[in-house]
Amino acid sequence: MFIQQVVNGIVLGSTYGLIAIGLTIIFGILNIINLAHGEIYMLGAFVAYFLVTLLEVNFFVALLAATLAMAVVGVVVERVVFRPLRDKEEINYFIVSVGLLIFLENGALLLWGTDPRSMGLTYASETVKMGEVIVTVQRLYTVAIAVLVIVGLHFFIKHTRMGKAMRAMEQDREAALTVGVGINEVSTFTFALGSGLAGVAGALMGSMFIVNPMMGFSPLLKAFVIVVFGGLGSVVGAIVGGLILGLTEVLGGVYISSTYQDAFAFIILILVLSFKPTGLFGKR
Amino acid sequence: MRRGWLVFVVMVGVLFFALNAPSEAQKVVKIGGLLTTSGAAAHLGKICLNGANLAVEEINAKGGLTIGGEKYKVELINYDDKCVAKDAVSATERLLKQDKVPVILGTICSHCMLAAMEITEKEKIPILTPIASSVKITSMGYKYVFRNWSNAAIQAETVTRFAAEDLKLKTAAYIGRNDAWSRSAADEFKKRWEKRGGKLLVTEFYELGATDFYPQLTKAKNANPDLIYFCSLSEDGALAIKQAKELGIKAQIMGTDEMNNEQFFKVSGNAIEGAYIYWTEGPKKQKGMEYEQRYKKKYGVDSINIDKGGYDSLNIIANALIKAGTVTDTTKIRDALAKTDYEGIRQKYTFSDNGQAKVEMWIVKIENMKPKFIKPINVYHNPIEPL
Repeated sequence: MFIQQVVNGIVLGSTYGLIAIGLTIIFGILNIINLAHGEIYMLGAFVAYFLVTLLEVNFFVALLAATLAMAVVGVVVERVVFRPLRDKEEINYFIVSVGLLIFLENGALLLWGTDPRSMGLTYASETVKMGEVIVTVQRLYTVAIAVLVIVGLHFFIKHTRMGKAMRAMEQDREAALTVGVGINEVSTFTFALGSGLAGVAGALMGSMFIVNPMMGFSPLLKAFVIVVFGGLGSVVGAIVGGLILGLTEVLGGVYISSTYQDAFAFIILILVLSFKPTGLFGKR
Repeated sequence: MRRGWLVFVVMVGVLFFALNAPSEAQKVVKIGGLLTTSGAAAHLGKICLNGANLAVEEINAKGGLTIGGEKYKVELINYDDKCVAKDAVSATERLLKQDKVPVILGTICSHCMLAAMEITEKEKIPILTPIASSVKITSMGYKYVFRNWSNAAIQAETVTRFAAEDLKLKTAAYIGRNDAWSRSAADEFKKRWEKRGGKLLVTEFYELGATDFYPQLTKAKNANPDLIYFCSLSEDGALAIKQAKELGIKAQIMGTDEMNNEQFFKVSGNAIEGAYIYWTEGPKKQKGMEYEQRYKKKYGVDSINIDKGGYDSLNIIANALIKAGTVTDTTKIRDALAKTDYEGIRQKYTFSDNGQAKVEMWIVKIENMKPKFIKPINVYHNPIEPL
């Protein structure tokens, strides 16, 4: 049973990591804490849901579409909501993102109601047996896609011009501006990337479980916790943090107490911050 | 000077209208509603509210209720408690302080009921829950609390008796919501199962709103029980049972009466096939079938069980208001409720001293994705533990 639970934890951790990465790069590069990130995750799930159920699109195509759609949403959000506050106090970003969260969640509730929806992917529940461990096909895909995304992200950040610009902006904003890094381009791109990642996570989670307007809040909370104890702005921290949380929740839930499953995130947070206030991989 | 005349004219005009306002406005009796419409019990609450609203509509179409010699239209003022205790508290306060209702229909979730009850008992406002099942609700001696559905002890008695005597199962696992209802049900299940010689191998709870049940299910699978009982509602139960099938769990599945509806089947797929659930009424009666047509006409969807519960509950309250002859003396309304002897569409309702209605339990099997009535379980006859 232990191996099965470890696998359960890795699957869960991968999705947590995906959501957390988006949140952490937006913070790391732009100093913006986007609390509406969970709602973008939810919208990604809905986009995929409608494509799969109404237009009978193949799930992976829907996944791609959801990612792109959320990237666009990210660009719009950056331009309309956050950019006007750029030179004001940073706390404003936080406040306005709460407003965006409320707007998006309630808008979704008004449009789509509270009923949970299932994508109904028939292949998704087929299982693969690896020794004593059973995993559904969709969970395997989720881990595979998470790995692909992380590898792709790493390549992007290390080897492309925009990636370099983003790193420069993250290291020292003023210096970056001095050498001509375009803050508008970087902001737009960072939001597109972060939101696209939220879209991927949302579509994947939605395909494995259910889709409803309230689905974004709990992952946001967990992502936030991961980002803080993983280190604000650290992609590695988000990934490692996600895996740690996923494994702890599952193993703790099974071997200690399932009642406290949701509390593990906060216990880890307190533990890590007590010893390393900047988080595991954080620098600030 | 001009301004002064203008003000004078406006004031005279307002006074004129006020004095000539119709003094014979239709009287309205407000019934408070605490039926969840979002969150972890939204499906139950919304459908229940449908039934209650249909009852209100029918009453008003016939001219309203005659209470104490006056005709009253009925208005159901419902607030969503989101299945969260603190929201139930603020909704209750609102109903009592702002809307000043003399009686309340609700809540859905047990922990919300336990919270709201504290307020209604203090203010002497009768409250009737159409489904909140924690045993505590009627065991604390509160005089203004009523329930016209089964409770956790009755549900556990039904399920454990059938599983032990009819299915002859020996070992069980319990997987349920981490809320007041399921905790009460877990205690009752364990008590009655073990008294019947069964072994309870695993007890696991999950948070409201959880979607990944692999940890709890893996633990249950590992213990290899004959039976797994899911104390869940539509939202969580469907996913949990679907995932149980994914994990290759072969145990007999048993569950609650919220596992026999369209929303559930949509999410669970045929993982629910072959499961046994408890059901708080017998096969359909004539009155019930006529009601179902009216319900379908108004809402466009098929009636299930809880909308009938909402419909009957509203009518029980209306009936009590008529018998009490008052819309303000809440103690009289409470006494009238306690003496209820009402033939609803589900059953004939009477309440015991503690506010619990006598109910008729059945075991239903999901066969070919349709409910099949298997047998009635008379929980009042030789319950293995007192009810």
